[in-house]
Parts: sequence; C-alpha cells; structure tokens
Amino acid sequence: MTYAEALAASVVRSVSVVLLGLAAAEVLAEWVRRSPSPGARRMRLACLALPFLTPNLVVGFGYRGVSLTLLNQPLWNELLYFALVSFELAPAAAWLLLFASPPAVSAEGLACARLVRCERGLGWRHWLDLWRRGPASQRFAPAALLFLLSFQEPELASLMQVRSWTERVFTDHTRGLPAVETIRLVLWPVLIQLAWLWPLLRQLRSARAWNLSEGARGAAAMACIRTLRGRTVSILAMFWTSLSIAFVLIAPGVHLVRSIWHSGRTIALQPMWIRELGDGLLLAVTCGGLAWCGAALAAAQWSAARRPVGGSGMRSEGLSLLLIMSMIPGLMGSLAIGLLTSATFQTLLPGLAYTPLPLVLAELIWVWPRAVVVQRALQSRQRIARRMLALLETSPLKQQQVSAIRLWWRVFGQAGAGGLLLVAWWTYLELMLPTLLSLPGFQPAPMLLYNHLHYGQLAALGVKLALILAIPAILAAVVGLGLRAVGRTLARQPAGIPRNPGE
Amino acid sequence: MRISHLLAVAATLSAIALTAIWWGVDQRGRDDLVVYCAHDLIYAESVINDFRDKTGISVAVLGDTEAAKSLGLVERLMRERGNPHCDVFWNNEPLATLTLAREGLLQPYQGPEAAERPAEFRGADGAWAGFGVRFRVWIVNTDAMPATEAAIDERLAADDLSKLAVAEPLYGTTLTHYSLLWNLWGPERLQEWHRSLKSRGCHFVKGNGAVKDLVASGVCDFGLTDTDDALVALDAGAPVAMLPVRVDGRTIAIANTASIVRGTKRLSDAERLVDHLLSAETEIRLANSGSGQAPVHFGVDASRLPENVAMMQEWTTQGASLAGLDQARDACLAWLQKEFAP
Repeated sequence: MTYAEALAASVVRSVSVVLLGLAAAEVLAEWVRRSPSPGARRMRLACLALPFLTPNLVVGFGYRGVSLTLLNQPLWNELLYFALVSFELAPAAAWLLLFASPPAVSAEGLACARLVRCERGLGWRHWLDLWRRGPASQRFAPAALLFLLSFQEPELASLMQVRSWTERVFTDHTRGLPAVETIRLVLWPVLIQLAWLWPLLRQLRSARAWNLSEGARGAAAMACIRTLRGRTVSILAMFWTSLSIAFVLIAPGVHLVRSIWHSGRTIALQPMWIRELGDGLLLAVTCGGLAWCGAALAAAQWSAARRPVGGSGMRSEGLSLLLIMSMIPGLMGSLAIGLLTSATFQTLLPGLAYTPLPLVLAELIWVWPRAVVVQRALQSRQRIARRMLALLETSPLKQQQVSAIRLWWRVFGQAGAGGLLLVAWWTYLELMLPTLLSLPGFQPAPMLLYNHLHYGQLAALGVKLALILAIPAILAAVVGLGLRAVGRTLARQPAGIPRNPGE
Repeated sequence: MRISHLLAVAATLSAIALTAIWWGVDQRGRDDLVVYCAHDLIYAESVINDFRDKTGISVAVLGDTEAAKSLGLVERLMRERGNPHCDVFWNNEPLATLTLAREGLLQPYQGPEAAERPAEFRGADGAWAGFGVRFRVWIVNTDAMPATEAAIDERLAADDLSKLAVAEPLYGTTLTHYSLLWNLWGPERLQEWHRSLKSRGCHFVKGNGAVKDLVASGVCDFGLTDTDDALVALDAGAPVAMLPVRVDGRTIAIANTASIVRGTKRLSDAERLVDHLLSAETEIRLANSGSGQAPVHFGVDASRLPENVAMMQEWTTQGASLAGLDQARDACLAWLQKEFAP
C-alpha cells in the first residue's frame, strides 16, 4: 500500500464518517431538544457523552481479538472500525448542532424560495446559494469536527489493523528518517485538515447559545413527542444511542471487567504503579491547564478585536490567521510531533533536552488545536452573559457583585471546568509522546499499557486500565462536587437580581 | 476583588505548585543510574529492584513500549549521540545492539560475568553480552494439524497458505529472522521465498502477539512467533504447541543484551549493573518469569528452571551465529520497506 493509497483510504473513511455521523447527529440533537424536562435532557446528554469520552485504548483492547478473527474479511473489519468511530464521534457533532447559529436563510425563507421557484423558476446556482446560507451553514462545523477527529484517530486504527495514514507514517519511520522527510510526509495530511479547520473556526465564531425556549419544552415537548416525527426521532435516537453504548462502552467494558476478575497478582509485582499514575495525572493537568488557559487568552484577544467599538476587522483577521498557524504543528500527528520536538531539542537546545520541557511542549502542541476548538465552541455561548457580567462586576452594589460571581459560575465556571477536564482527559490518554520524550523515572501509566497488550498480560492491563480510568474520574468527581458546593453557597447569598439572569 | 483577579491568583498559585512538582520530577533521575530498558518492564522491574536492594544504588528506568516499536529506545540512543543521558542499555534483541556497537555508541566492558557464557552471546570487543534467550518458533494449533516438522513442511509446500500468519518483518525479532535468512540464503532466495508466501495467501500481521492470538483462536493453523508469546498461549491453556524454527539445522536464538553507553559518567555503577544483569541469578529469575527466557550462563542450575525453559536450553547450544547480522539487517530492512511501504 503506497502512502497516497493510505491517505486516500483515510480521507474516504472520514468522509463516510461525516455522512453517517451527520445524519445521526441531526437525530440525536433533535432528540435532546425534544426532552420533556431538564432532568431528561441531562440524562440524554450524559448518554451521548459516554461513547465520546470512552478512551480508544479501551475500545481497541476490546475489539483487537474480534479484528483478528476478521483477518480473512478485511471489509468487515473496516466496517466495524467505521461503525465504532461513527458511534464515538456522532455525539460531538450533535453537541455542535445544538448550539449552531441560526442560518442566514431560515426554513421559512427556503419555503418562500420554493414557492418563487414554482412561479418564476429559480436557477440552480441561486438555489445552491440559498442552501449554502441556509441548512448547510449549520452543518458545516459538525461535519468538519467529524472529519478532523476521525482523520486524526491513530490508536484504534493501529489496534484493529486498518489502513490509515497514521499507521503508514509509523511504518515509514522504521529505519529512522531525517526531520525534513518527516515534515514532507505529514504535509499532505496537514493541508487536508487545514481545509476543514479554517471554516470550522469561522463557523464556531458565530455560533451562539442554544436556548431551551427554542426547543420544545414541557407540554409543548410532549405534544411534539406524540407526533409521528417526534416518535420516529425518539426511536431512531434511542436505537443509535443504545448501539453506541453497547458497542463502544459495554462490550469492551465486559472484556475489561472479566480481565480484572482474574487478576491481582500483577499489581503486587509493580510497586511503581502509583507513581506512574501520578506522573500521568501531572502531565495531563499541566498540559491540559496550559493549553486551556492559552486558548482562553487567545479567544479573549480575538473577541476584543471583533468588538464593534474599538475592534478592527483587520486585526481580527490577523489574529485568526495567527491562531490557525499556531494550530498547524498540532495537526501533524503525535509521532511526527514527538520526533521533531526531540530532534529540535537535541540539535538546538541540548541543555534542555533532558528536562520535562520537550514532553510538555510536545503535548501542548498536540492538544492545542483541540483546546482552541473546544474553547471557541464554549465561548460562543457566553457572549451575552459576558456583557451582563461586566456590568454586574463594576456595580457599586455588593449584592450585584455577588450576583456576578454566581453568574460567572453558572455560565463560565461550569463550562470552563468541563472543557478543561475534556482537554486534560485527551492529554492524559495520549501514548506516543511520553513514549518518545519522557524522562527516565517518569513513566505516565497509560504509556505502559501497550506492553501488557503485547505480552498478552490481559489481567495486568485490565487492572491498570481500571485504575487509570477510575482514579481521574474519582478525582474529577471530588473536585466537581467541591466546586458545586461553593457554587451553591454563593447562590444562597441574597442578591439584587433574579436567580436566572437569562444566560 | 474582580473575578478575573481571583482567577489570576488561582492560576498563579497553580503554576507555582506545578512548577515545584515538575522541578521534583526533573531532579528525580539526576543522581540515578539511568537504564534504558527494552525488555518488558513488568519482568524487568523486579530485576532492577533486586539490584537496588543489593547495592543501594538508585536506578531510573526508561522503558520501551510496543507502541513505539523500533522507534523507541534505539532511535533515542542514536539521537542522543554526543550528549548521552543513558548509562546502561538493556535491549531485548541483539541486532540493534550490534548496530549501536558498530556506530561506536557502546563502551566495551569485559566483566567477570560476561566470560560465563558461550562466545556467540558476547561481543568480541566486550561492547555487549547476551543473557535470557528467546527463540523463533513455529506455533501450531494442535486441533488443526499435528505439531511436527514434517506437517509444517507439508503445509508450507501447499498452494494455499491462507492459514499461515507471520508478523510484518519490519520490526523486532521477525526482522532478525529475515536478516538471518538474508545472510544465510542471500537476498534473491529470501525475496523469492517471501513473495512466494505472499502470493499463496500468507497473512502478514502486526506483531508476534497477533500471530499467537490468530493461531490460538484457530483463525490460522500455524505461524511464526517467539517463545515468550507462545508460552503465553500455552499458559492460557490454548490448543497450541511450539517447535523451534531451524535454518540449515540451526535455531534462531535471540538474547537480551546488556551494554554500557559510551560517555557515561557513572562507569563503576554501570559495570555493577551489567554484572548483575549477566549473573546466573538474573537468568534464573527471567527463566521463571512469564516471558520464560532460557539462560546461557554456565553456572545456572538446570533443576531451578521450569520445564518449558529447560527444554529450550538444548536449543541454545544449536543457535545460528548472529555475527555481522547488523549490516544484513540494514540491507534487508531497506528492501522490506519497499515491499510493505512502497
């Protein structure tokens, strides 16, 4: 298989994921919008989040054996991989659809155009333009996200032995390659991703909050659900969600639990595992935190440049370009990032080569595009509240200042904590960069999992995986509960404005 | 105080705390003996801990992972040429060690333990010494075919090889296997053999572990793998058996190697660790570990070896010579890369 063929296979697969994932996301988003109550909405969102947040190593671990049995049916193996990736990513697209900005051409506008077409005969170009500014405009960001995440996916592809450019780049490096060759190899994948990334960021810039009142609520929602369309959406969404959870979470989870059941001895053989776990968490918190803060600062700069008063269009465009350029290295894939960072430090900064800096920097480069996209998506929901917050903060009334804190927590704090956790979670589970760049004595736990797979130490892998996944989740839950308690304390204080200031 | 100020204070405090922790991490290995270890850490750690307990020398280990395959420690040692960070390199196969020795990256050391093994398991100049040997083996699903050399030869001569699995020979011990064939048979014969396997439907998969799984699960009837992988299947009770691969009557023995990196600032401690790795005690520990590696030390008491490993000891004396194989490896890999990644 040539490099061009591997690249083409990845592109075709990602485009297929876009088509299926987008169709599924439409149904899932509508299902969430039609939730009969806030509690039901939270439950539905949680169901969508589960497959998206399941680490690919767990999924790969669960399906590696199945994939091997499909050795003589590569098409089935490819289909299985395609289905798993679609199940994992469709919820992310649904999430974007939920707060996509309203199209410039509304459904009513399109209906009018259709009437006009019947009467006067609209040309296909005009019709295409209406479609581009209408329904297509809301779907581009989710489609781009689906493409980018499926195109970058390396671990599941490697464990399930499907053709992909990430696997092929690895093979090309078996004899070692000079840095220039590495850059040449990853140039096309970077360009392909850029073609999707640029419009994605532009789209997210204009997105806004999804307001519950725009969806069906309460009695109206129940009426909607009772319609044929509502019932069909519910059935389809529940079918997709059940399949996603069964394939992505339950099947690999059962495999995992079965392994844990038969283990215990191996942990005693490895007294270092607590330190390894701590190393993994330290790396994730540092790089996730830095990337998140950096993305927040970049977003704030961009917002300032776009303000109607005092902002400048040229400065805004310049900052956009700068932001896109800063994301290019992160699109090269973790293998190329690791090798190039190592070569750079060994040749240009040998004094810093044996410090944690190369690893932290490489992780930052890798996670930066994701942090920017997540930050941008969240920021778009906060524009109106930001103005309100500025007014409350500068108020001379103490009560209004307290309300500012409460508003900040409800709109910015909760979303920011969620975004930060997501970015840290991605960093935590990245395997290649610590393998290439970590220091002696610094071994993040997730990095060692491949060895257990290789030696068939399923019990040890199961125990480690369980610990690796459970401990950050428990820590996050404890931190979340603490923050929630603080938020509730603030909410109990008397304030001069209503509790829900229309975020 | 404004929220942005509160956030700035929180961020500053977090940054200070994280910087302090990272400083601690940075200092962690500064005074330690640094070991790059390609052998699976789950088994290697007990050997290193034993050394720590006996000598009081603190050791920082950097392990390799299957995720990085050949791009891990060997490439890293190459990149660190002239600015070495590693003191001792524990490799799990000899070919890359031979390449490092040829490149002048290893420091010769003729310790007392190195002499306690056959000449084919130590470098002539003392740049490396071997211990804990794995073998290339045929793994056979006994439900599908008899585990005999005659049965394997018969199947290999057939037109259909869709029930045979071999790891892609771009990495690890399969690359060593191919390099040996390149040396013994010559490039033309090896290439013809490889293309013949391919044209008759042989499956080239990612890694020896995958070969083992395919044969153990019955998807394939037989395959080429290593003893450590085959032993995992045997331990799990899979219907498999293993037979040594023989090339011109010789087995393919793949030893771990211990070597000192040139430029180390802790030569004396590095020598003590190499002696520890090459000792009979370490060999027995590795033989009894899950990876079941055969000892080559003259002083090993055979009664302390598990049954499977005792059987392998006989194969050790029949091993083909790996001398000069590093150059064959380079040429072979260049060809293989064109085959698998044109």
